[in-house]
Amino acid sequence: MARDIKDIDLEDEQSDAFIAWWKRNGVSLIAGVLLAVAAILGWNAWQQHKSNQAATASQTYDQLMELTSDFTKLSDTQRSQVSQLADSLADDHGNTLYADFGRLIQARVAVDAGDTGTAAASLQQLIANAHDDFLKQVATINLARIQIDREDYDNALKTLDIDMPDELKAQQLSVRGDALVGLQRLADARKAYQAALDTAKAQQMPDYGIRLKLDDIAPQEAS
Amino acid sequence: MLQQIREHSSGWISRVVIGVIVVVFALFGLENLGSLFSGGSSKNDVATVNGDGISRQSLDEQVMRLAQSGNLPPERQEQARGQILDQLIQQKLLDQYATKGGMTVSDNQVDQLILNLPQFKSGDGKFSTQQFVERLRQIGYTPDTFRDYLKRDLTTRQLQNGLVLGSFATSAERERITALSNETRDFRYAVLDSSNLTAPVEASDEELHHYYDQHKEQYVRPEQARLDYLVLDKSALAKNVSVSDSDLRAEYANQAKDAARQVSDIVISEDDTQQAKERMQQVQQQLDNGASFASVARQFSDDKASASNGGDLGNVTSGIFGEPFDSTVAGLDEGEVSKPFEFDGALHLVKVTGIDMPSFDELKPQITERLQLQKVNSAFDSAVEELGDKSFSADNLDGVAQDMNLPLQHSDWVSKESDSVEGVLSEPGVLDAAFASDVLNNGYNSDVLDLGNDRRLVLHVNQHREQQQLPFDQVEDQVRQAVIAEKTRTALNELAQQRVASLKQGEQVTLGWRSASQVSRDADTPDSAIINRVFALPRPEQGNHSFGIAELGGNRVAVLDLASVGTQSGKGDEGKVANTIRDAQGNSVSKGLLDLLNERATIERQ
Repeated sequence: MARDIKDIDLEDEQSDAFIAWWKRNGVSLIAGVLLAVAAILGWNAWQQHKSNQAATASQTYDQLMELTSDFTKLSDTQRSQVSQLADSLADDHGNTLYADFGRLIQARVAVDAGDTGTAAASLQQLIANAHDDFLKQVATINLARIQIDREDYDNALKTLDIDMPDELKAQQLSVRGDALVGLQRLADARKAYQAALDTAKAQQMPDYGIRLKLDDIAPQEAS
Repeated sequence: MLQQIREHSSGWISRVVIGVIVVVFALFGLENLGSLFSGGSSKNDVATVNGDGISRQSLDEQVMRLAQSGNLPPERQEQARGQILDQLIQQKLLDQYATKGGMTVSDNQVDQLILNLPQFKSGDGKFSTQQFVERLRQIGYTPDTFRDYLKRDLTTRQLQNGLVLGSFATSAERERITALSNETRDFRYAVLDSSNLTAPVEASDEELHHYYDQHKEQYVRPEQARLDYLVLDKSALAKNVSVSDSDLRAEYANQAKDAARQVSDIVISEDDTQQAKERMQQVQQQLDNGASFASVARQFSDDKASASNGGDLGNVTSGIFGEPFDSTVAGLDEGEVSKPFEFDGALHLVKVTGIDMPSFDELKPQITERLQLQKVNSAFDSAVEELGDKSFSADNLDGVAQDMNLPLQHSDWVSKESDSVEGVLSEPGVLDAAFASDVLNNGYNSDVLDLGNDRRLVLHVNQHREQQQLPFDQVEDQVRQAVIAEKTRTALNELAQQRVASLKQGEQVTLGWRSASQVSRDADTPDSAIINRVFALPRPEQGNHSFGIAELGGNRVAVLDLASVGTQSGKGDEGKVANTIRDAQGNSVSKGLLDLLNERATIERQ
């Protein structure tokens, strides 16, 4: 019997200690729990929102790919669909690669339809808002090519006058050569093409067309 | 950390932290908390790409898949591991680029694709789950891993498609390239070789020494080592394990239990139990008297459907009828008849008329292998441990080989970048281990290397030699060949230049001329070195010729005389040229991106 009373005392002591501890720490503990719950819920909601956004972008891009996957000429309706899709990728998902790819594809479709004005405009938009350096540089080369097609050689040279990674230099130099040929600056063009060939070789890149263009302007040697 | 938390638990900050941890544990489980701290890589990785790991398991799985698909013969598997790892690394780089750029494919998109793949459709053109699971099993995927694979694959395809679909050819480009690739040239050429030289080419000792001094770097032997090594291979180990005939039979019997059985059944269904028993006794009587089970079934069985087939129920696997039917059937060999038993409110007598399983002799090799592998598991683990312990403490591998009864293998001289090594030595990480400082310079045995597929290797450097400049005497013959070749080419070039000079003067030059007309760039003859050079000559002006020289292989030189330029019609039409320009652009941007990602990445193997 005595032993039982002692036990109860002990339990009382323990629960007293707990209540005291709870009084000291309870509020901050509960605050911690609430903070964590709020953080997790917020994080999940944010993740959910982000993944919804991403899924929409991905699906829009899929539509664009499907519409443009073979290189036949598109009808006017299809072309305006392409523009709508590219615009919506750029407007709603501007910080993704989808936006950049959308512009590149839009430009290609315009070139195929002979509409170099639209092509140049969409590449300029890409260059102004690009999310990714590499795609921006690709777009720059493409823009210069379109300017050459429009016989706007001086601006093409200006467009090309930016730093490129080694991986894109061969293309940059080759297009530079094209612009110089347009300006009848053949000696400079030869230098550009030769540098393009050397770079392509060093980078183990295909050099399609460069050799042909270089040979085409071989000088009448004096020797 | 826990100690610190306890010591400072009076502070309100740590109380809040504890609260947070409690909730995180409750909601995510321990695993996720671990991954928060450990980041993306672990010890089991064969490589890390920008801190993101590629696990050994994923490499093993990919090798296995390729092997299963029949595209990778077993003897090439180990060599291919390195290449497959490279592919996984490239894939990882693209994944990272796409993910960072916000590209992703949702579960929904993946599921749509799966539903539409013809491979997973059954005969009626609808998606078949069974077919799906079966096909995946064949190619080594589970539905989950396959989904992951498709997700990554689709994202990569979005990426590559973006680069390809954004490539074009402008009309100026296609016109120009079409015109140029349709060009043809009319010319004549003469090939000169050493027989055209008036005096034979000779090389003096002085010239040889001079050449050797100028080209010393060509006569260097790299740092090399001769290796001793031991390979511990589980499947080889397994082959030596003996398996008794009784074990094989037991395993066969074990498998036979689960195999489908062709069963005949006689069903006696009476309301009155006593009557049923009496009829069953009659049945057994008939069978004892030698009547066939089928005829008795036809006469007595109350299951009319099967009775007309002599009681035959067809193939029965366990689970169709349930107990005690299943266990009774499983306990019977082919041709055996059971005792009567009650099941589903009736009395049954069953006979197993066939077991759907290959014979013991047919299955013997398979069962043997399986039992061997089972038995060898623990033996292999302890052998790996023993190999590690012994090789760690030994000065070389001779004693280890003897103790463990493993054949000690020896390599020839190999260098760190040696392409000449074959077999296990060519596998990723092996040469690196051999040329690690402790092993190469201090003579320690290497760690036990895990080669994957349950194989381990330990190596020891038996001999080592530093990079060495080979002395002139050892390479004199090679030097002489090089000098003679160089002098021959120089002499032929001079000769060709003299001929070209004469031609330019309008002189007649007698050589072994051959004429070539309407030759296009991609023509098969003459030699491509000649064609390339001819097309690089300036277009001849009216009434004049262009002349040039082409160096050919085999120390020969050609004199070229270009008369005129023409056009072949209809060969490279503009559409084709446009495709080629576009493809070339698409390829070089894709390759450019990958090269750039490689260049900027931190990639570590093993």
